[in-house]
Amino acid sequence: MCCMETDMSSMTKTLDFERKLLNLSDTCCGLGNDLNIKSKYNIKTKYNIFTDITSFNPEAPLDRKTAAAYAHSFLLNAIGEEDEAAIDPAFKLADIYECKVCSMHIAQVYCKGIMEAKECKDNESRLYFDLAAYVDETEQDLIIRRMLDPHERVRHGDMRGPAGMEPNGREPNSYEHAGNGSRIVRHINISTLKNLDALFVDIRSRSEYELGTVYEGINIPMDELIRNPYCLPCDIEANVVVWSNDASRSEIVSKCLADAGYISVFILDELDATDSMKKY
Amino acid sequence: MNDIRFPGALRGREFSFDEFDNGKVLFNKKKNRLPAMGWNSWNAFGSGNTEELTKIMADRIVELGLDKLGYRYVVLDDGCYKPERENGMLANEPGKFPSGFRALADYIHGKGLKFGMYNDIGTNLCAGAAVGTFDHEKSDAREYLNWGVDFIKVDNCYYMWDNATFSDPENARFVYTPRIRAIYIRKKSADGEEKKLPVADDGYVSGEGVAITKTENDCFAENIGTFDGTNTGTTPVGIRSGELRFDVNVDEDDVYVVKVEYATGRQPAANKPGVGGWLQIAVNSEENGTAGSKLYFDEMLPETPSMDDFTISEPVEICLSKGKNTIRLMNHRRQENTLNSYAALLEGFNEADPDNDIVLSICEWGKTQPQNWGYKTGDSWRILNDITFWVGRDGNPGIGRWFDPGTPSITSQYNKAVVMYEFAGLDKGWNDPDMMVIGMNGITDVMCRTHMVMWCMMNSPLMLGLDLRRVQKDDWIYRIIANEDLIALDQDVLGIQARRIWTSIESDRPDKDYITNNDRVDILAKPLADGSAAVSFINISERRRDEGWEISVDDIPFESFKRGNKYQVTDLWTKDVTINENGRFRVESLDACDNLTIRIKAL
Repeated sequence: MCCMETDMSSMTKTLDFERKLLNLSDTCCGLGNDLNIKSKYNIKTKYNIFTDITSFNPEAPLDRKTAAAYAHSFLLNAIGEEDEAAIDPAFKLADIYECKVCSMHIAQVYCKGIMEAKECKDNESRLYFDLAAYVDETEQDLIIRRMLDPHERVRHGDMRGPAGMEPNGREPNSYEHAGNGSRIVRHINISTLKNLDALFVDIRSRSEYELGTVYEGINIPMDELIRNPYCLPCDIEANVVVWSNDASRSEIVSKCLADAGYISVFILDELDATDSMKKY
Repeated sequence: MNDIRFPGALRGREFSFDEFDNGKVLFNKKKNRLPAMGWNSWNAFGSGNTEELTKIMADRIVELGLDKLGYRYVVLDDGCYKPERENGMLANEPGKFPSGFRALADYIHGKGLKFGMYNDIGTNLCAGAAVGTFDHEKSDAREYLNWGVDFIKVDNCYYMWDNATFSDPENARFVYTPRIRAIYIRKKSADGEEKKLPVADDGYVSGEGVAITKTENDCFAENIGTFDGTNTGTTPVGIRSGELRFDVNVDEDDVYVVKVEYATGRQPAANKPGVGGWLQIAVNSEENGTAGSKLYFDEMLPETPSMDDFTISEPVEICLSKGKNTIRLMNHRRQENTLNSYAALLEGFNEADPDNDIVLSICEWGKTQPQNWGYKTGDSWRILNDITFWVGRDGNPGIGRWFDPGTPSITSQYNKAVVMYEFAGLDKGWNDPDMMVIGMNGITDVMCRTHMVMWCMMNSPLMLGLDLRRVQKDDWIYRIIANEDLIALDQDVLGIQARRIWTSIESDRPDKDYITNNDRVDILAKPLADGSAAVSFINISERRRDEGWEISVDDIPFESFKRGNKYQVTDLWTKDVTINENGRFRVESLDACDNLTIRIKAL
C-alpha cells in the first residue's frame, strides 16, 4: 500500500548489526560487565540479549523490522530499559500488523523515538513503518545513538500526526475528528470528487441504484453498511465518499464509517440527481 | 517426497469441496470432545517462552486450583524449536528449553496436566523457524507422540499454495482460476461442429464472489475461488466460494471435448478480483446434481503472458448424460489443499498410534473458511487472525484491545464467532476466536468479564494467555477465569453454541447477520443439558446505555429448554438467585462493555 523502492547497494547483514550491538555490550558504556539481566540460561551472552528473536536469519540483509527487533531486545535485556506502556501512536501505522511477531518490537522503537515512521507516497496523511526496507550503516548508527542517549530520540509531539492535511491541498468545507483520528469532510461537490482518489459509495437501496447513480463506484445500501462497515472493498486508509439523496442518511453512514476507523470519509452533497444519473 | 512447487492430486473424493457437507470425518477423527481448556504461552510470552517459565505456569495452574476447574492443557506456542531441523527432525531450542520436550512433558504430566505443542502446515513457523511440518508430517507426528504431546496447535504461515501470512502473494495463482472468457464444446466421436459458449451469453454464477467483468468489447469471469476469511470484512455464513457454470443439454450419453478460453494471473483478491492459474472442471448431471458430480480436470493451466492475453486450453474430455448437464469451472483448492495438509498430519498421528488422543487445534485464521471442513480433521478452528499482536514477555503483560478495525481485538473475534453457531457441536468441533487476553494491559476488568462471558457462551476453547504469576486466588482476574458457572456453560455436555436472539442494530436475522458495528447491544441465548438456558445481555459499545432490554421465555429458541410457570434465575456474576413468575427478563442499563448473564431454569 505504501511501498518505497529499496536501495540494494546499502544492504548489510543482520549478523553485522547483531555483532555491533554485542560489541557495544562488551565495550561501550560499561555495559559489558554490568548487564542488567537475569542470567537465566547460563549460556553465551547472545541468547540472553536476543532470546526472543532467534529465528531471524543472520545472513539476510538487515531490514527495518529486524533492526527494530534487535534494538528492542537490546534495550530490554542489555540496557534494562522498560517498555513503553502506552503505544497508541503505533496503532496508526498502516503496516503495523504486517508482521505479527514484529509488531511489539516496532511499536516500542517507534514510540520511544528510536526509529521513525515514513509518510505514505499516495496518501501523505498516513504513516507507515516500511518493514522490509533495508537499514544502511548511517541508519544503524542513528538507531544505536538513540538507544544509548534518550536526548537523541525523536519526541512524539514532534512527529507528524496522521490527520490534518486535506487531500490535494484542498481546503475542507468542514471537517471533524471522530475521536479516533478519523475525519468527516462534508459538502464536497462532484468536481472535488473527480480530483480525489476515492471509493464512491452510493448508500441508497439497490432498486434506487439500478435506476442510475451520480458517479462511478459501488452500491451498498445503508443498512448493510451500518451492520458491517468493513464490507467496503478498500482499506480503512482509503478515501471513501458517501452519497445518498438524503443528507441525514449520509451523515449517519459517515459517522458509522469514521467510528469504524476509516480515516477519511467525505460526504458528496445532495445533487439534483436526474441529470447526473444518466451518465452512469 | 511431496513436490513443494505444486499441490498433488486430491487423495480422493472425500477430500473434495463437494463432500464438505457430508458430515464424515477423515481418518476416523475422534469427536465428542468438549472445548479444550488450558494455558498457551503466546499471548503471555510470545517467542520468549522458556522451559522455566512453562514449568512455573504449570505450577501456578495447580496452586491456583485451575486444573480442578478444567484448565488442563499447557501449550508451548511458537519460539521453542531450533531455527532448522537436525537430520530432518525437530529439535528443542537449547537456550530456552535445555532439558528437551520429553522432560518438560514428564514434568507437566507429573502435575496431572496435559502437554501441548505448536507447529505449522507450511515450511516455516510464523516466527520464522524453518521447521514446518510440510513433507515431515509422519515423522513429526511420531516424534510428538514420543514426546508425550496431548495437543497440537497447527498454524498456516509460509504455506506453499496460498497467499498465507509470509507466503508469496503470487501464490494466489493456486487458489483462483484464470479469467475465463468462453468455453468451446464438441462431441468427441464425430467431427461435429464445435460450439462456443461465451461467458457473456451462456455463463452464469453459482455461489458467491465471482465477478463478471464487462468492458467495452469484452466480457469475462474472474475472482473464481474461495473468499479469504482472514479479515473482518466478510461473513463466514453461507457459501463462501463461487463457480462459473454453463448448462448444456444433450440427446444421449456421450463423451465430449471442452476447451477453455482463459488468461492467467497471480493476483490476490485484495480489493481486486482474484486471478490465478489453477482450474477445476466438473460436471453435475441433472439427476444427481453435486452429489453425483465428477471432476475431469484439476491442474495449473499454462501461464499466459498477462491477465489480458487470452488463449485457448488443450481439450479436456468430459462425459455428459442425456438431458441437462452443468459444466462447472471452479477452483476449490484453497480449502481442499489446506484440508489435505491438516489431514496428512492427522493421518501421521493415527499411523504412529491408532489410539492416540491428541487434540488437533487448526490455526489457519479463518483464511480458507475452515468452518466448512475443519470438523473432518480437527477439534477446533481459528476463525480470524490473532486476537492480539501485542503479546507480552516475562515482565510485560502485553496488550489486549476491545476494539480494532482489523482482527486484533476481543470484539473483532466475537463479532465473527457469534454468527457461526451452526458450524460448532460435539459431532463437529469448535469455532476458535483465539486465546484469551484476560489479564493483559489495555483492557478493563469489565471488558475481561464480558470477554469471558462471550467465550463461554460460544463454546470457544478457553486458553488462558496471561502470566499466571499475575493472578492470586480470589483477585479480580481469578474471579473471572475461575467463574465456575461460566465455565459450566462452555463445558456443558449438550455442546450447543449460543445464538444471538436479538441485537439493537436493525437486522432480520440477528443469529446469522454478520455485524461489525460495535455501537450496539446483543442478547445471546444458549441451551444447557439440564433443560435450562443461559441468557446474556452484552453491551458491545464503549458507552453506558440505558435503553432497557427485555426478552421472554418465548424468545429462547431451543426445544430442549424446559418451560414452566416459574423460573429460578441465577445471576452468573453476583450469584444472586431470584424467582421469576412471568417468564420475562428485563435489564434496564448496562455500563460500557458490560454484560448481565443469567441462567434460567424452570421450577
